[in-house]
Amino acid sequence: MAHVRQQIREAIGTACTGLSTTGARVYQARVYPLATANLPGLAIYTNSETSEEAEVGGASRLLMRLLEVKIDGYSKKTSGLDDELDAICTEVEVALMDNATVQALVANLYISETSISFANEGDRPIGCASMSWNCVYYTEANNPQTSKS
Amino acid sequence: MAVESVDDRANFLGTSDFGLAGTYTPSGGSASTVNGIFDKPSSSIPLDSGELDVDSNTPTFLCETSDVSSAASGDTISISAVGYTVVGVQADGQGMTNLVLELT
Repeated sequence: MAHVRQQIREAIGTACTGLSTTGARVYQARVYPLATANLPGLAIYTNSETSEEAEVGGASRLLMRLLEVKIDGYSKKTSGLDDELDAICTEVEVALMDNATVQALVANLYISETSISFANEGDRPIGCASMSWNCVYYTEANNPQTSKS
Repeated sequence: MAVESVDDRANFLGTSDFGLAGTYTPSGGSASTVNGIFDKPSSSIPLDSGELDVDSNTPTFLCETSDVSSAASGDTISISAVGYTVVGVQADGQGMTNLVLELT
C-alpha cells in the first residue's frame, strides 16, 4: 500500500480532474514545461511535510503530519486571464472541500495561501495561480500507509 | 552615415528572399502592405509563482521604420493569415523597427 502522502496527492489529483476550466489537464509532480496543449491546466506537488509525535509510546505511536500540497493553476490567454485564474481557484477549492475520498484521508485540510503571477513574454500573456494547502493527517510511526485521521 | 541604404533595407526585407508581406493596420487608420522579416523563436517562460515554466513563442516582425513610422501598441498586423496585435515597438534609430507581437 502506498504512503498516505501519495494517497492524498492522488486523491487530490482525481478530485481535480474533470473540472470545467482545466478538464483532464492535471499533472502530478510534473517537471517539464507546459505546452499550449497543456493549458489551462493544474500541476500538483507534495514537496514538504513535517511530523511530530502525537503520543508517546513504541513504534506504533501516533504521528501528526503536516503536509503542504501545492496546486498550481496555469493559463495562457489574451484577455480575461485574471478571471480565468480565479475561476480555476474556485473550482479547485470547491472540488477539494467537497471530496469524500480526500476528506477521509485527512484530519484537516485548508488553503493557506494563493499567489498569482503573470508574464507578458510570448505570443499570449501567461498566468499562474499557485495555491498552498495545509493538510493534517495522522499515521502510526511504523505504518505510514494507513491514515489514522 | 547610416549603416544601410534604403536599397539595402528593401533588398533585405524583400519577399523574394526572407521577407514576408504583412497587412499592417494602425489603430484608427487604414491597412497597408509592409514587408518584413517574421520571426517566432520558442522559449520556456518562468513565472514568479508555480513550479513550472510555460512554453511559448515570441513573434516579431522586423520592418522599415518608414513603413510603420507611427507604430504603437494596439496596432494590428496580419502575417500569413494569422492576426497579431502590436505590443512593443523597438526602433533601432537606423531605419529599422522591430514590432513585438501577440496573437490577436
